[in-house]
Amino acid sequence: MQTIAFWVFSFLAVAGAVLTVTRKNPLSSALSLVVSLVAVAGLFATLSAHFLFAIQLLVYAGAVMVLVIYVIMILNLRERDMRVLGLSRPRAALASVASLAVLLVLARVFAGGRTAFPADAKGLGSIEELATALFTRYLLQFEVVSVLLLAAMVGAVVLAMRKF
Amino acid sequence: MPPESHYLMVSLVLFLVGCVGVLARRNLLVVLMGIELMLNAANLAFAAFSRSRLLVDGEIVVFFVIAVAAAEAAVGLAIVVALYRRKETVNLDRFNVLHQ
Repeated sequence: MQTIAFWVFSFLAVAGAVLTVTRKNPLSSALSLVVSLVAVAGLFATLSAHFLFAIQLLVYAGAVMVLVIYVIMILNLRERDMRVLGLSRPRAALASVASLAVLLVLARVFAGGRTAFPADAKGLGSIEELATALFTRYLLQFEVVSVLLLAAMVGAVVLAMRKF
Repeated sequence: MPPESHYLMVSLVLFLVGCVGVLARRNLLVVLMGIELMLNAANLAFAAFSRSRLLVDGEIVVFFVIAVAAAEAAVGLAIVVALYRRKETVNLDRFNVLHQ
């Protein structure tokens, strides 16, 4: 069951990612990216990271992608802009060859160690365990991230408001 | 359950696809989406490591990465809007004032 879920979700994640990169229209790119992000959320669920599954759906596939789609619609790109903005052939070829080389090298490294996961997750990924770690050992980082989010919010408003 | 290496391979493929998107596309919006893909690939690897070591720390890192990615998306998209106002385009090759 988990194996089938893994293969389905990884196929969807990779297919969505490839479509994101290759579609000419940024709106179809964004929608493919949503598919990929939801599939990664499913992969989190197979890793018994249930809280991350929820957060990924809410924050990433929900909030962030709504923001992206909103900006794409505000900009309202014309057809002629998109024609020059497709995948540029020489660059794409170069980047693909380079990443295929990296893929082959690292695939050999990973194939060496096929460690199986421990069968029992022992409550890993439950909200209790995550919250305990987050509000004790990682309290300082948590506060720093909240300041970062505030700064990002103010920065985004100032950047988008100002007339350059 | 599939072994850890399968998850790492998926994460690697996602990362490389995102990397190709950042390197080969000239649309600023798609480049931002490529960055999101790469962050997501790293998240998947962190979650897999966390599951195989049964340590919650990896999931905490994923949590923080998602928060930082949200901040990055907000600021990045604000920059896109500001640049579009000035240049009427999202083509990265047109944003070259610094090397003229």
